[in-house]
Amino acid sequence: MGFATASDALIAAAFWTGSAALALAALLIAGALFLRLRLAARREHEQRFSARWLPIFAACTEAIPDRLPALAPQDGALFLSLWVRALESVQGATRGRLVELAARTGADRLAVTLLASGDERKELIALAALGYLRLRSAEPLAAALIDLPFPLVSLAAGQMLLRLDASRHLPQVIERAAEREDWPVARIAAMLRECDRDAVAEALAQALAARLERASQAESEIVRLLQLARVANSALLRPAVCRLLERPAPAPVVAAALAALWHPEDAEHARRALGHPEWFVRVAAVRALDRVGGPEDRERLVALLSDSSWWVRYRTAQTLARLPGITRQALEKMLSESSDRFAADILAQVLSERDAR
Amino acid sequence: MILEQAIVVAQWVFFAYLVGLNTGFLLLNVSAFFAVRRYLTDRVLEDLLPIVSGMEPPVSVIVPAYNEENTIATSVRSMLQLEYPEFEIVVVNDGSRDGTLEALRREFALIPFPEAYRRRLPVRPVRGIYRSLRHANLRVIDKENGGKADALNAGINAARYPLVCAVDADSILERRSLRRVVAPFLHDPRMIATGGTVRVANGCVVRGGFLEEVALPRRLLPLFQVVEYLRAFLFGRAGWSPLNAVLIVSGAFGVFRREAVVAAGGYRTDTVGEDMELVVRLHRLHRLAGRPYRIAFVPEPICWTEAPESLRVLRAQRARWQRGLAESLTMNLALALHPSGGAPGWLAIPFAVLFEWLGPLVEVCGYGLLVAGFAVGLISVEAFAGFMILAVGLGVALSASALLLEEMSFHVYKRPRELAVLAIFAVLENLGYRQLLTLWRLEGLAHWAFGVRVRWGEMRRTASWQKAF
Repeated sequence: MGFATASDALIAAAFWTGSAALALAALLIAGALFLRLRLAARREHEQRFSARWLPIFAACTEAIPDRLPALAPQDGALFLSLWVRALESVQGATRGRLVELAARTGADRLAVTLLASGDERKELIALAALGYLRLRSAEPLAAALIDLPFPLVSLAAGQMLLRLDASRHLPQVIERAAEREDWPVARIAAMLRECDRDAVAEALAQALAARLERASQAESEIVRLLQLARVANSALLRPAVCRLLERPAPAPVVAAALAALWHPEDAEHARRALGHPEWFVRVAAVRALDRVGGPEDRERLVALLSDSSWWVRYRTAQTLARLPGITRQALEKMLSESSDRFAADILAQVLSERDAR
Repeated sequence: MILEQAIVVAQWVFFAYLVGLNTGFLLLNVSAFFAVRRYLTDRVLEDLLPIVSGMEPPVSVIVPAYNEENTIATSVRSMLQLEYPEFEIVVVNDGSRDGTLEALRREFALIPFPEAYRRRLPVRPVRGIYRSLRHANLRVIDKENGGKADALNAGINAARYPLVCAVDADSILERRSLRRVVAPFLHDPRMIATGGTVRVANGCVVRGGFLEEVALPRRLLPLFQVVEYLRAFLFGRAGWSPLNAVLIVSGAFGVFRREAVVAAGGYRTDTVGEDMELVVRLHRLHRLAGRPYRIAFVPEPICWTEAPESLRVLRAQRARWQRGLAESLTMNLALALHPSGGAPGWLAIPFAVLFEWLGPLVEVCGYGLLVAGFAVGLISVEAFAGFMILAVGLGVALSASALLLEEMSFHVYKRPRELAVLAIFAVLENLGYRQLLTLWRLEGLAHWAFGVRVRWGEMRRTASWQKAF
């Protein structure tokens, strides 16, 4: 060919790149087959391991068996993950026996070793186990892990510290919960639900109060703390929440504070927010009245049925329908007397929804 | 002489294109590897410390339906059994010409519901709204036909909850699918959309609308698509997720923050790729306005869909997908290479334009030139063979890497025989199937260029999985 030089180089490049890709493909497929074989072997080992240990865990409901199999260090993570699940499924004295079993098998020391393994998966398992083992010697390690920039490990460390000694570590965990946006609020809430409600409320109240003292309030931190306040619903939180609602605050903070209201004596805060310029604050105020309001709020709510926001009208109609003393006949009367089409439409919808339940 | 030089240049271009395309996918593969590993570690914590906090946002599941009378009741029944604390189902009957509405009425005891319907997004007229006497969380909107996007918008208008989940009526879910796809919203308050891995349902055992047993299809065409879906989802999407540059959340199953979708104007009704277009638009609007946001991809298989079993249907589907891609990209081209474009504007969109939008054109020209040049003697046997080895070799390597990633993560196909079959098909799909798809994608590109009209509902499904009842 007349264009031999360029073409030859190209052909060679194409051929060798393609051949290398085919060789790589063969390696990858072989890798997949190897992984499948390894997986099968691992599953078989896990099944044998479970078959050996699960009956022992079950026996702990009565007593710890005298003779226990030896626990190999390489099976530490597997043992602990089974042990955590077993422990979470039982209560009372059985838990104590399972903790003793872990100590007798040396699993507690293996957990501490795993904590420094550098393998995130093993660290998570170790942290979960150490929380139940209440091993004081692991406390400094967990305290160091809570400030790592990795959310999974730091969260699990927080969980472990709470399980170890909630009253001592709650303030520290709550502070991190406010500051760390990489800690999902829902997950923190799940952690806090395991703790004493009043202790959680006290720690939250302190964290909120500290932020209210500061000249520059961290809006997002206050909102996160208020979201967590719903876990506690305690009288200890009322002063901080009410203080927030008594002073000018950004709309997201007001809405979050309204969502944390639960005591009927605080209903006045919700009533005042019914005229807030932001629709989502008005929705939060109406929902707060759903919890803390009473029959005396009827006229206020009826007026809001003509609000410009559909959501305000909808939540208002739902709240009205749930007010003590409001019967179906009363709602039908409101509907027939309503001169506002929007109010009538939303009342008709909520009446039908009420029938569906 | 000029012709020969032109051929050499064209060969270099084709070579550079193939190497560039596959290098891009290789990098995505590396990114996907870390994303999947992170996800699996997340699952360890999820198992050890499950989120049952009562803070899960309630979800409105929107099910657009057009001529689905055979499958709609089963689909809705299965969706009603999803494991999730609080959700509602809004079925939108988009002017079906069959008995879809009657099937729903009969099965769920529907009665008219006087809903104060809001038209936050413009939609075709709503003819009626119904609620179920049997399930308080089920409503049906009956509206005039306006297409899938219009039906989804009608559902969003009626949605009560802050998250909306768009589900195809024929999607097969697992009980925990919704929980898994909503999880990223719990982890990051900036999250506005999430999607999950969709897999091929043909061959699987489905009971009560839920997937009971995973198995490979017996027919060739769906088998090829199994490998293709592995590749497309495992690194085509999981790879972009860590960069916050996922450009598509499958219409089969995706969750969106309702207010973000409404603020963006909802689904566009003038494109056949409404799912991709919405996601690209969400990127564009948030990036250009400097609003923080996240769009994430859940690599775990959470939705199963029936793949076409005939060439005719597959051809129509792929042409439609290619057209949707072209429309989605051209409608949001302002984000490409924009100073505020970030990873979507500087990486994902240019990659999609070069290798997915224009890809079929380059590939067909490249293969055409090879075959024609070889036929008339302008390209030697060595050159022809060299390029074929290159094209097939790179394709097989990509499919094999997807297979390896699947084996490292979810190993959904349990039987060793299935893995062997997949390995064989990872090779075979590069010997004709992919080239055929390229031709059909080119057809879709032509439909887009010449404005050929295509509407949803033209693809008929066999719903053969229902036979497994």
